[in-house]
Parts: sequence; structure tokens; C-alpha cells
Amino acid sequence: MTGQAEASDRRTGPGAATALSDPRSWVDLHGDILFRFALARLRDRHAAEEAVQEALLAALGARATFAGHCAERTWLIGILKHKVVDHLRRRIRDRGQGDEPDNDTTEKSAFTWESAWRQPPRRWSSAAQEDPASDLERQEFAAALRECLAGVPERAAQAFVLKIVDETDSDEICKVLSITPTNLWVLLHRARLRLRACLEQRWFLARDQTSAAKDAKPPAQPKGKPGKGRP
Amino acid sequence: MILFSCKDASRTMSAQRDRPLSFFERVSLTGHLLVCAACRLYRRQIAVLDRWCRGAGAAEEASAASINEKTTDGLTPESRERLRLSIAKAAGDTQP
Repeated sequence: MTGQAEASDRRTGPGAATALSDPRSWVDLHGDILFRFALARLRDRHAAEEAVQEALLAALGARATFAGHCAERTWLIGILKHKVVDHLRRRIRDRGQGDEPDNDTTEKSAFTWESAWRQPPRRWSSAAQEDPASDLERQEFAAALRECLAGVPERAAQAFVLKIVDETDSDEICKVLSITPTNLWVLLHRARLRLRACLEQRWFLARDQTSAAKDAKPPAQPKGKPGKGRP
Repeated sequence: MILFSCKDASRTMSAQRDRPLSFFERVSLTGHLLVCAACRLYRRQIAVLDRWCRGAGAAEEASAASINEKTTDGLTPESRERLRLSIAKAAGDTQP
């Protein structure tokens, strides 16, 4: 079959199908990205794989409704988002996670017994705070965020990703995680405490030094690592 | 107590990003921020943090397959095979 014949073949299908690639190639084209997306939210490789499979099968069934308003991958991620939320909902229902006793140590490790900062925020240069300059930088930041999220307690990380990264409605998050609005604020607060500290080291101060190096200034002498607080 | 500690202030500053503060919270926070440079920094930095993170989901969607190879958290070959099979099977059923 010639290329031209194939092209006309595709045109004869339902109009929207021209914008989608062969579903058999989805795993190769988008599998890793979809899996990582699910893994960052579910923190369980098995559940993440399941969610990806459910999303791909749902997408296969809904191919005809693809309107071509967005890229194929964005469409697939949109479907995956719903599958991830379903998984979270099921998991929380099964575990009764909303009632779990709370023994989080985030605030204890961030503040002294006098409620003062153990490690006060360090100044970030204004250059380091500017919006990402390129797609590459945006992707590098996403990778740093993923690493830092691994150090955030599970529920706080879920709350932060749903609320800030995915911009899910607060009411919806409270329903999915079966928590009250006050719980949600507490979880977001813990996530911000940990992420700010982690990304300060991994990203914002590091970015400072790269931009300083570009200006041919000697990088600031890094301070000795302050001792970790009591557990 | 009218003045917040850094711990109280950080909680309140985070809450402020998601809901309006009460009168008491506003007064206490303003008082604390007048005297605490670290918390003033914290408030600015969590705003930067939220802004950067908001774009991070879209960045993942846009990221090219080549970037995955550097990271270890992609699909394992076995998972990939399982997924491929299930899609191929379902695609075969709907499209003989």
C-alpha cells in the first residue's frame, strides 16, 4: 500500500480519527509520561499501571469523541486524571484514611520548641524566581518537584498535587480525600513547608548559581549544611 | 496573644493562599511580619513555589519521550508489554 493510499484511508474514517495516532502505538508514544503522571499522584507502581491501562482502554472506547481541540497526549492525560481520582477515592474508602491518627512531624522538624524557624528561608535572587525561561527548564523543574514530592508525607503530597499542580476544585479534593477544608489547609501547609525547603536547595539556590556563573561572578560560598533537627 | 510565632505565621500565610483570613489572623500576621524578615521571605517564596508548580503538570504533558530515558520512574519493560497487549487486544476487538 502506498503512503498516499494510507492517507486517504485515514481520511475515510470518522473525521476526528485523523488527529489520533494508532491506539497500538499509544503505549510507546505516551506510556512513560502517563505512567509518571499517575505514579506521582498514586505513589504505587501497581496502581499507576492500572490507572494507565484503564485510561488507555477508556480512550480507545471514546476515540470517536476526540474533538481534536488539544493534542493527543493532553487528551489522554485528561482521561487519566479521572482514573487517578477514581483510584484515590477507592483507596481512601477502603482504608478509611480520613480517620487515620495524625502523627505528622513536618512542623516539628521545621520549627524549634519555641516555634521559631530551625532553618530560616534563605534569600533567592530575583533572577531565580522569574518564570521558567524555556520548556526544557520547565521540564527540569517538574523533575525536581517530583523528587521533592517523594519526601512529602503521602496525603500532603496528594493534596498539593491535586490543588496546586492540577488546580482541582477544593470541594472536589475534600470529597476525594474525604477530609474537611481545615484538613486540606493543614495538608497544603505541610506540603509547602517541605517543598519550599527542598526546592530551595534543589532548584532556586542552584538556579541562582547558574545565573551568577553566567554573569561571570564567583558563586557564593555555600554555607555548611546545618544539622538536621531532632527527629 | 496578639503576636504570632513563626510557626503560627507560616500556617496562616499558607492558609491565606487558599481562603480569606479572619480579622484576628490578619492583625496577628501583620504584626509578626513587621518584625520578622524570615517570614516575609517565606510568604514571597511560597507564592513563587505555587506559581512554578502550577505549570509543572503542563510541562510533563509536553515533555518529550527522550527525557524519560534519563529518569528511572518510567514503565518497566514488563509493564510496557502488559499494556501493549491489553490495548492491542481491545483495539482488535473494536476494529477487526
